[in-house]
Amino acid sequence: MMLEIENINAGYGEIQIVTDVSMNIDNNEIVALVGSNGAGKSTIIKAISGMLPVSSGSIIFEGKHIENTIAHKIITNGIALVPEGRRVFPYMTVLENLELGAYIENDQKTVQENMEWVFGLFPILDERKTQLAGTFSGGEQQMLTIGRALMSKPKFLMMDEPSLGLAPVIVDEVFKIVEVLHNEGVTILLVEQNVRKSLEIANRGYVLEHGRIVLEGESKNLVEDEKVKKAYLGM
Amino acid sequence: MEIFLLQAGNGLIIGSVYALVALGLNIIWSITDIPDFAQGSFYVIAAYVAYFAVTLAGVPFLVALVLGMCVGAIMSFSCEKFLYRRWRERTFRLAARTQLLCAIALFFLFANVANALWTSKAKIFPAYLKGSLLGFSYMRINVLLAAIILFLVVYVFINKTKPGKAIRAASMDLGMAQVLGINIDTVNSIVFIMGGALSGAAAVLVSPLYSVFPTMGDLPLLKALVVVILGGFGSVAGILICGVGLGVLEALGAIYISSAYQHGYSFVILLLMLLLRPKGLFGRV
Repeated sequence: MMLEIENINAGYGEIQIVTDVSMNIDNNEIVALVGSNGAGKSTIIKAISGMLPVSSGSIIFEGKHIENTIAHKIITNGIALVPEGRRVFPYMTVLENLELGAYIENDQKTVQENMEWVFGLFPILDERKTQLAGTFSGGEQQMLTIGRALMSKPKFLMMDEPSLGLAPVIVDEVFKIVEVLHNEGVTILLVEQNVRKSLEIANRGYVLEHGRIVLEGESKNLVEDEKVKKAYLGM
Repeated sequence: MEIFLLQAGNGLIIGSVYALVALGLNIIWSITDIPDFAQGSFYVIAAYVAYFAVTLAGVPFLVALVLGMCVGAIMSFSCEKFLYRRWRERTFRLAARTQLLCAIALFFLFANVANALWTSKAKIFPAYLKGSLLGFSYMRINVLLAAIILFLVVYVFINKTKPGKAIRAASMDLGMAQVLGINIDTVNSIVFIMGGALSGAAAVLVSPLYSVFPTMGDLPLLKALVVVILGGFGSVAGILICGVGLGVLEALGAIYISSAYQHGYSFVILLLMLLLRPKGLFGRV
């Protein structure tokens, strides 16, 4: 098991958002975490990445407790994040953004190798590496954000709403990249509002409602589930 | 014409002092979201330490300059580590507000400590170099040269080194920088050390031209704040341009309008800027 989340509770100050959530992610799985706006999907991501404390419960990554670890230490375990809203460093070049993705890597040779890998996946980043990230379009910024996350050669990649606000063509491209990364051996937690597409490519899925997991299982079973069909797939 | 050039040159020199203080303020501001008023007091203390080092211990000026930078850096570093950081850890979103109040308190505290220890009487910093070039004493020219060197060092550090890039990233998106493995405590320590060293350098450089007294930090601090806002919290180069620009305008205003309002011109320019172009000359926001 790569990641085990056991009964976590988390929120902002007095306001509890996530209640008794338990999830498992196995090696080289794509797991989709779906739910409507405000269900608490991002809160779970923030708890894993150390941006929010959990008030109880545990998060175990490869046998090691990582709940309430200070945020800048999380990445050293091999966990990377593609945050919601992209969050590139706008006044820095593409190259600098990518270099910062490998901030924890001190060996220049490894950084170069990872950079070659990312440029192979996203040739556009190679072509425009001296351009300021803030001048990129939304889709290009999304590629850069994914590339930046990959620069640390993570075992486990969390993607928070990677398709949000993008043109349909770009959305297809993003989902294609998720599959490519999966084939390269990266384990992925995909948080999405695009329920149909994410369940199409995921091995398993969790459905979150009002901060609780209400359904879980193989993606193909979830797609057939009457409740999911009605609430998320519009059928 | 000659008086114009002379006065413009003097403006350039005093402007580079504003720019040095502003550079430190700007870097700290970009990380903490506060104008660190306490820099004004590190400026004063650094000048006194350099003064005593020269007059009592008889050290060469260059040593006194380095000493002043170290004193500024250590004080600035300590204030962040032992005071500001506590509020950052405990109050999260309210941190900036509390830190700002703390910075203002420190500013008054140190000015009064200096007053109590060394009285308000101005101390004459002995000249360390004689002679002049085209009507500018070497000591004045050195201020400008030292400022240019320090700006180059900071520019290269911020833009070309790994810690420098981490600082820029943290100034744009603190949370994202943390997720990428950047330690925010370390970033804060570095920017406060830089700020303190720059304030100290500015103070020691300017001391032999004027004198050393407890309120000597007030005007440079306020002018530096104006420079940061005029520059629009922008680049290192923007700060230098705005700093010397402000110094020159102020000096020219003193001879062509009236020297009585010399220190007012900066604030008139600030008001005009806020009305006409609130994002500053080199602003990104």
